[in-house]
Amino acid sequence: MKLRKALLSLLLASAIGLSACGGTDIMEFGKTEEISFSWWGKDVRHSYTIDAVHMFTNMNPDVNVLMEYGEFDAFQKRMDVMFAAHNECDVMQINYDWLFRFSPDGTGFYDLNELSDYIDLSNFTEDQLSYGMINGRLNGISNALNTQTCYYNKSLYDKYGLELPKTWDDLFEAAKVMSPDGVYPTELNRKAAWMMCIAYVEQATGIRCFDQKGKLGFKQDQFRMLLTFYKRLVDEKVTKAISEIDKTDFENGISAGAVCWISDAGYYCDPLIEKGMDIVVGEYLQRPDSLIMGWYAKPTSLYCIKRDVENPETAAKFVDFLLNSEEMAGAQGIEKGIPLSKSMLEVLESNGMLKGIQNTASQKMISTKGIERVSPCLENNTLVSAFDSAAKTIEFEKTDLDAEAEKLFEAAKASELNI
Amino acid sequence: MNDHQETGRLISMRNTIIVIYTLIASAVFAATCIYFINSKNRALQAQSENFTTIAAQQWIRNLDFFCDNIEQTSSIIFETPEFSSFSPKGPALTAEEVEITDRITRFMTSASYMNDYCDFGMAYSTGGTAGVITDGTRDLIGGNIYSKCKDLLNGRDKAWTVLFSGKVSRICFLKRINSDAIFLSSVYTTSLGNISGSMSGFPNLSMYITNENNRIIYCTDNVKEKPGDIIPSELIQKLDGKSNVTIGDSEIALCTFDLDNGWRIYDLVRSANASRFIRMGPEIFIVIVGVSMLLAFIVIGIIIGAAYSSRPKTPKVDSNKYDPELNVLTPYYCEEKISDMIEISLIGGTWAFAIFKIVGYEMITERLGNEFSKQSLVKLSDILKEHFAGDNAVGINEDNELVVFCDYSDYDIFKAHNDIRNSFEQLEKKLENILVGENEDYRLDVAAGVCIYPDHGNTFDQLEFKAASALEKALENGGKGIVFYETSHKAGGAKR
Repeated sequence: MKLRKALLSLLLASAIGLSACGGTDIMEFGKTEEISFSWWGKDVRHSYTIDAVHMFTNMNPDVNVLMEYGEFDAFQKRMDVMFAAHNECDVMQINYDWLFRFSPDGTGFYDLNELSDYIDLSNFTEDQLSYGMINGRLNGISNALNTQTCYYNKSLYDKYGLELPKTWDDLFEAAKVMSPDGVYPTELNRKAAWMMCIAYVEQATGIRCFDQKGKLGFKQDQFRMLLTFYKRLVDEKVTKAISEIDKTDFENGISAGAVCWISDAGYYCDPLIEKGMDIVVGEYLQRPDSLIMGWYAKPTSLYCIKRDVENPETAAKFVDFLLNSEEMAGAQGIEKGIPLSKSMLEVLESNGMLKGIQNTASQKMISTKGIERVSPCLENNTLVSAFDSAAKTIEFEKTDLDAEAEKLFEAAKASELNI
Repeated sequence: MNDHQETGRLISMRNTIIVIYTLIASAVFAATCIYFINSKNRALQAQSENFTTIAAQQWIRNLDFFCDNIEQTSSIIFETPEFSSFSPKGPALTAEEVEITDRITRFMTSASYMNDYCDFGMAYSTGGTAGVITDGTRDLIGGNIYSKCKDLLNGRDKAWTVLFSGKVSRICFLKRINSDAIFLSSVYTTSLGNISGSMSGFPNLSMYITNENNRIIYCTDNVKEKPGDIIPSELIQKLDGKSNVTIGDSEIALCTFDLDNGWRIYDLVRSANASRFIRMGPEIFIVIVGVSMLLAFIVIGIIIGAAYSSRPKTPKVDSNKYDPELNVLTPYYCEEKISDMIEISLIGGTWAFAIFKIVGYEMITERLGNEFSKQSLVKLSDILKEHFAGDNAVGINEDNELVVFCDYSDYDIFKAHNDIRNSFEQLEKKLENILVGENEDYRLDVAAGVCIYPDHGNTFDQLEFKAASALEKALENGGKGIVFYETSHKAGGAKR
């Protein structure tokens, strides 16, 4: 009897084995949560961000992240349209001034304070978080700080026997030496020219273009002074005119310097460093009689969540990944500047990743006293475009400076905020 | 041969049979598995081929639509003749030309936001540009954009090309606007993942789009290659120079379609597991046999182990096993022993179960005393032990009857039955003249009932019942002799 039971058991085991062979394969799909994520940047940022997103989705297989990205100029216009249609992504990398354009009362984005269970806010100081705070609502969290910084090809300056510029006058003196060879002491693109001219006028007058509340400080006279200074920079061949700027000039030695964001330093400087040139971070240019510093820092970008996002917890987990994770720290390095997140900073320090021209520029910004928080009004694209238009007009001397200064003043008034 | 040796031999025989049966069962099992797996493989392969074909066809439609959309969007620049006919002569732009360039840039920036364009602008023979031509694209093209675009057009009115840059490679559409201007629009190759929609959500489906040089323009995330790499050579070899084909073999189901512009779509599903068994049938067969045998032995071991461990504990005193005077198994052990012998007996075996009774045993005891009756039983048991020597069981039951279970197994079942008859006939003669008493002046009459295992029962109780029935018949017939159980005895009933 017992043997019979044993045989029955064996048969049963065989049957189970056979049934396993004929098992059903079930492939499930469409059961993942989906969040969308948009950012701007150059190819290097796209590349590591895509990698990081894949890391996140590998860690969270139930989450799918749709990516939208592009370079800044076209991307900004696209964001305008998406916000107008309320089609923005669930998680967004935004520029500082967009925070105030799209959320003037603080309700345009999700209040990240409500998601503090998912986003480790303890990695940031109150001051750092205040960049994204509007009306007591945490609309965005900054990942790093950025400022326009001067970079010089010291090899080229040494060739002309010139010291690196510390004042505006040093630039004009350098131009006198270099211009006979068709070399420019520096290169100012649209945004750099705008911020440099603002700095010059603020240093000269002691008046801030916009205060921290978004109120306009400059009058038409200050804008006239600003445009005059720009015209002098071009006329005395300190820089090419905005319409003639070619980003390869710095790399090809046509420009001996460049002014750009810290986050773009690698893009501009690394090709030269690879060629063996001595590229250094310069001083923040001053007038000898400067009344105020005139140079500003701003968040490189902020991460925000759509105000009525469908899956706020998932979006928050993703934002935490972008801001605080070891994986993102390893992928991003200091491409956006030195990260504000303590945990990310620890990863970079322990991995010896705090190095290179961007690190030098970031350290200089941190150690320089007097650099203030930028007014979002100065970042307003309409105002910068108005400056660009005025600059091109006076370049061809089609109209008088007063008329262009008036237009710029009107554009600035329209950009005022009530923060 | 003692009792332990006897049990050992039976266990050994039993184990041999188990091994043989297990081997046969495992082989059958393995063959069945291979059959099922192969059947499943064939079905899977057919499904995979259909799936890749459908997916590739869908891809073609989506990609055609995607490219058409980009081409058609370029027509927006012809909306304003001022823009389409604009051709700055240089070397530097005039104020009017700068103004027009700015207007074009604003216009194109507005026009391009509707889609995920990377670039949307124009390159002029002066080296200048209007619209949005990103730094990344300028870096990839390198040098004078207009000259490079002109080379890529190569005299044609329009052309598609790919600027490879890993994950952020760009698909570019070029179109000549006028003799000094070329329109350029591009999208990141990753945007092709968006047009695939839900198709990219199938983890087993891989997809490549390649250009005419077999370089990958786009691939799904589940492959190790990236844009710019050459497509795996194994895929090209499988095509064997053909195009627009569906190929299915033991490794892969592959479908390809060629586009007019020289691009090719590869949709493929790699065999996940079972298909490999087709190629490795003998090895897998042996593996399955081995594994199933191992499993079977484990199961049998567990069952036998459990059976032995659950068996009632036998008294440890060995002397209790045998009646001290008769030297035959005591009633309890007799039943236990015979039950064990039944359990481990070979299939096809033939055994005789017999109960022997001294006629008038109770009366002998009453009249001549216990000692005499015991002496009678000793005499009888001696004869039985002698007659049934070997691996047989001889014991006594509660009614002072002697019980025998004896093996007569033979391949020829008729011979086995004859042997039983002959054996018991010989025994009957021996039993006819048993004399007991001091002067051997008392002759015993012995009756016996015999039945056959497994013909008349499969358990001790069944056999005992049938043998007792036959014994009753023997007692009825005249008080002695041996009677074999027959079906008709049932009617007479058994005394127990």
